[in-house]
Amino acid sequence: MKYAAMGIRISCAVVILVHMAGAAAQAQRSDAVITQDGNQVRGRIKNVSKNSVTITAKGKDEVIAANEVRYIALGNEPSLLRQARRLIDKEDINEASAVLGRIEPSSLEDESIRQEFAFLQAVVMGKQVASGKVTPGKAAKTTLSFLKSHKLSCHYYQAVRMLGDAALEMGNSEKAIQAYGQLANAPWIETNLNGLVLIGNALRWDGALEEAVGKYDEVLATEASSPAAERQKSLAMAGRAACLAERGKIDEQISALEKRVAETEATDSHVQACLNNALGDCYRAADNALDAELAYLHTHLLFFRDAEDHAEALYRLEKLWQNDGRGTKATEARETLQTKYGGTRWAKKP
Amino acid sequence: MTLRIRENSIALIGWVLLSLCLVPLRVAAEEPSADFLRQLRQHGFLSQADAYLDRMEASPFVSASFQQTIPFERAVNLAESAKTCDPQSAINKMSRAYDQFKLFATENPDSSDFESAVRWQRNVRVQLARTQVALARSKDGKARDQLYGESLTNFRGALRLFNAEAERLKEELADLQSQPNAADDPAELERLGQAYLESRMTAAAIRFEMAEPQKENPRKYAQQLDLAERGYKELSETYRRRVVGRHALFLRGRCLEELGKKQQALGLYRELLDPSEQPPVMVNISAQAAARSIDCMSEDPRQIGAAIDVGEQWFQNVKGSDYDSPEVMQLRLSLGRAYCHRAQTGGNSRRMQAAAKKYLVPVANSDLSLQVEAKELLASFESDTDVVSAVEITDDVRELKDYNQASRSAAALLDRLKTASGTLRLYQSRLSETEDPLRREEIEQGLEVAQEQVLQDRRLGLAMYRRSLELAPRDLPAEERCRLLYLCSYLLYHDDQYLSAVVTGEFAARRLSDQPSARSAAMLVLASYFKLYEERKLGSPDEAQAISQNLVEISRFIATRWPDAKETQEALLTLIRFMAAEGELAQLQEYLDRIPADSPRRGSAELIAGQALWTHYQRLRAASADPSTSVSSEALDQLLERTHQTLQAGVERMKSTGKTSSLVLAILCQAELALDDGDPDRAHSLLTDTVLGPVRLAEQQDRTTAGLEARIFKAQLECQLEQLAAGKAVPQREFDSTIEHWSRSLADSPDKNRYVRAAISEIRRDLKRQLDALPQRAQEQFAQALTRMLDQVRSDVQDSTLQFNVADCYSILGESLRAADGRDSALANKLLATAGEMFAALSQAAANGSTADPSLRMQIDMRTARVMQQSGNIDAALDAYEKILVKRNTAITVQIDAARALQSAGDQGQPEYYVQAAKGTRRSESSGKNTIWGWEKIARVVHAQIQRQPEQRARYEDHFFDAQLNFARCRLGQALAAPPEGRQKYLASALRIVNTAMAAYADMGNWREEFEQLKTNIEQAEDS
Repeated sequence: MKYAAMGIRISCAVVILVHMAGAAAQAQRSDAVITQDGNQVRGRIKNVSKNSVTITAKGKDEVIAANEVRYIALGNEPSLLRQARRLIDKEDINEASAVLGRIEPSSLEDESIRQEFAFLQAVVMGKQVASGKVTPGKAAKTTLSFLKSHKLSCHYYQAVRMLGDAALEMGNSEKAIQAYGQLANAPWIETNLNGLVLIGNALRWDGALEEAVGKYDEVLATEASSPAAERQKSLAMAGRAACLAERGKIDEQISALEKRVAETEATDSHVQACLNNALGDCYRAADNALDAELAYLHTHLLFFRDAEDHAEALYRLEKLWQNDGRGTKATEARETLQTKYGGTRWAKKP
Repeated sequence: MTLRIRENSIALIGWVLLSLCLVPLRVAAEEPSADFLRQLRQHGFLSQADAYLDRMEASPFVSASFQQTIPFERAVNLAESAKTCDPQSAINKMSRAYDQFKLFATENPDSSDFESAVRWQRNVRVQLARTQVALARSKDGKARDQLYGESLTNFRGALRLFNAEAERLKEELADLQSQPNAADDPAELERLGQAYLESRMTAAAIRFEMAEPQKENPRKYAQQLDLAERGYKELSETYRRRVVGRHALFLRGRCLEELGKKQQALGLYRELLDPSEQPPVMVNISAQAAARSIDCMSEDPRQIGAAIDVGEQWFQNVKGSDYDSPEVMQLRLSLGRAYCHRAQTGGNSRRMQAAAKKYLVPVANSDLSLQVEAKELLASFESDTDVVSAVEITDDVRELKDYNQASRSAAALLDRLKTASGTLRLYQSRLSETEDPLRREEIEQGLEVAQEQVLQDRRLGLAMYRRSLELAPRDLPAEERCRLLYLCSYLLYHDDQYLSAVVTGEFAARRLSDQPSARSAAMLVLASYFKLYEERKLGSPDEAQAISQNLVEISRFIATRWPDAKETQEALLTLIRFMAAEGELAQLQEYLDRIPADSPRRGSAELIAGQALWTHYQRLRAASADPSTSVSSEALDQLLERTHQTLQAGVERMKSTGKTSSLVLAILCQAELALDDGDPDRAHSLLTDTVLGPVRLAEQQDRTTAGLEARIFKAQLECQLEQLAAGKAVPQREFDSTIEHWSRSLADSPDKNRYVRAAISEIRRDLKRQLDALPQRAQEQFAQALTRMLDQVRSDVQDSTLQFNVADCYSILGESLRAADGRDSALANKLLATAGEMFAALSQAAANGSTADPSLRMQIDMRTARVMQQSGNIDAALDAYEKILVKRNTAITVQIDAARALQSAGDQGQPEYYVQAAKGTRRSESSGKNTIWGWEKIARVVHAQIQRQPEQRARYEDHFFDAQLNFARCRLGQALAAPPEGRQKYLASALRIVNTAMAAYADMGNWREEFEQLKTNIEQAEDS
């Protein structure tokens, strides 16, 4: 009996201690910056600008360039915000949207948390455009509102790009090019190159092929050779080849693209998809439907992570199959395009 | 219950189990190539997967290890494609796949895919046997016996493979268990144990399946089942508590059932009946046992009550919610069937029917093949309103409370539907006639609205007719009731709800067959079955088989019930079309004979049958070229005669009705048949008949030849070639006109590129044979006409494959003319020069990497070498061979071609090349060895290969004899070109080479004669 009573007392003490430790841990939870390569820097965020984030860790200030930031987790942010971020990272956008919907904006007192919340909302909306759940106009409006309110956010250039993407989906290439043009102001060559590639893509979509090739050529002519810059060059190469294919010029494009595909990591889904789609365009221009089909099938079956790329491949496959008399396959492709990417311009293209 | 029905499910169980454990366990490869192939297959892109492998074979961008596995991957494609084709094609494909896996495993024992290849070999062989058994069921007589015999051979082969695998795994397990640290790797132990059990289970399943092909011999049949039963018994007793043991127990029961030991089987099933507290896989085994118990017991009418109790008890005991598995659905069907029997034989039929309905409805609504029987059972006791229960009634239709009101509304709606359908057709015809884009857009909008209207009206009409049936008074005349059901079936058919159309139409046709609408309803059922068959024949061959039986059944019903009606002949015509498409010629003839000779349908039927027979003949004749097939020339002749008679009868009968597409096609078939029969004059007169000649009609662009133009002019071209070959004159302008029409018909085709590609490829394939058959003058005439066509194609193609084929046509033409006319033929020189130019451009493109098709690169170099050699430019030819051999030095056929080119240069007055042909040339700076080997080294390498792999002798020995013989010929050539004092050493060497070859191989086949002849030549040279 005596030992039993003592046991209860000890258990209670343990419980109380654990609770106290938990509370203390909660009060002291640090901020974290997660970088593009997956590293975490924990500490207290001291300063944020559109070019960098300064975090004080172990008494020292560490400056991380904004383009290296994958995301920021604030120590005192609500767990729902954290959960939404994780879901976005896993591309579970609908669930992320639902989780964000459960956060009451007025309950967010801290400015930096409000900023993160607004950014995640814009990201979710941008990603829902492809499926048609959100109109590009609404996504653009949300992103614009974020940019106006948070001019110094480290997500600034990301948001600028999102704004351009939404404008392009709205059919307003001029605005898109304007937005992408701002990426030239970023202090990182890769972002500048990305801006040029995106402008090239927008011009290509508008049929201004000469001008688009000019933009891609600018990227290809740059001397930067970091992996990130090479990545942009791959995208430029794909865009350029697609433009030339549209004008019936396929000389040497195919072998160069094939070589580039082989050199590109299979895990870089976006670049692989762009290269394969461009390869498909070249084969189409060469009147080689079978190889064109194989190239687009690469995107459809292996490199389908990016909605825009996948939608383009589906659109092309539908046309190829239609021409080849494979009606059922063509209908399936059209249905997938409408169901998954009904909001993209590919789904609306005749 | 026959073995066949049960066999289906046991084969399914076996196959599912086999799939679980034996679906190739290839380790996921890292390369995107492997991933891409896997994805292509998963999504059914099998021809694309083949094309992809073609590309990868020569691609510099994939790893060497992947390239090594290409033959394996090709075999996988073949095996996968067998899953979605008709049984006969599946058998052919699986046989080829089996051979390819076997060859791969033999040639690549160190490959990472070796084990997978062996596994595929086992799986494919057992599946091949199963498909042969399934096909045998639909045949009779010799065909069936042959298939059963072949299936037994394959089953035995598979059994050996599975037994060997079980033995291997057993040894591996024992080895692992004997090691002191065996317990450190429990996962490996578990994997090996599982694989071992699965091999044994499959072996037992094969023994069971081997019973059916031996059913004609009761003693062997029983022996086989007994063997299987013992196999299952051993497994069930050894592994009593494991899933495999329970499964074996159930299958043992199946064997006992087949042996007629029903009570013993029921005793075993009883052990499995309790599904409570079981994991899902056990629940499914239990459901199977319950279903079999019910089926067994239901055979005795006195036991139906007990059978029903088994099923009811099972559903009471089962926990969890997995009620939709195929096994549970099968149990529902068995229980529903038992209730149906009870309803027919016992009292209280309404209550029994209600209970049956409870179990059958979920099965009827499932997408399993069981749904057909469930629907039939439901239809057997359902009322007319039940058979249209699939039709949804909307709330506004439910407002209709009175039969007259409902039927009037339905009739009014039907009128509206007719008007809307008319509008739809009008829009469709306007659209096809209008080219103005603005007007087209307007029409398309109208078309869309009309389509929507028709769809809505059809659905509403269906709902109203169903409501009418619900509200119909009991004394509604049968004629009216039948008409309502027919209209429902009609609307369901046009709404693409074929299965529901069958259920409704069949009710009207069979139950109310005295009524006027019943015949039309029966025709709708026939049409619906036809559609269903078309839908399912690729995806679900088993279901398609069941549907085809129903199709034949309803046709027979129509023919018997209304023997004199025009619908009967229509039904027979449908059956003839069906049998023609399926290649079932015996049945086709039977149905053809049932159409009276004076019937207006007889002619159409003969035309369809004749065309089917002609297609079948062509297929069989092509297959007869393969020595492994057993198509006798007598059978071919008989078939040809029958085809001729059927087409002739049909054409004669239909001539009076005027020209139709079908008649023109039949005449074209007659012309093709005459060509095949070596009678080009008859073919010519058929093709150019002034009234019905397909060539004349096509020249006038008559609509009856639409889509046939390319085939018509191809026949005409062949006809003219045959006439030329027979020494008859064909005016050049007629020849030119045919080629021009043919080219134009290809260009007018919807997909010009595809047709041009196909045509050039076809010309290329037959060109040499055709040229060889022509006299020299005719060769030139043909070559000139064809060159004009090739020049035209050449001027506007970019596709490298097409360019390659065109260049190859030039080179074949050039080579043939040169062979006939000697070196001075101006046309031959021109053709070879054009070919050389094109190949050089392609080779340059390949070197730059801009050739779209990398697999062509080697072929381009090979052709370049050949054309250069023909043009007398031996150095350029050697450059091309060297280019290939630098990359693929051991490509034996290329080495042989290169040596032959050198020897041929020696034969043409340049004896210095004999030494290179014999000893090789083009020394590599890096290795110091000759890149082009020459005959001596070829013979040495091939001989060593035969020594290493004696089983490969058949494959290599021709190369060996060829190389030795030519080596000796080169020596003889050197001797004859040398001054008299230097001859002897070459002659001695030549003799030595011949003697060595003859001593090394006693069995030289036809080669001995050639060696003997050469020996005589050498001896004569010595004497002179």
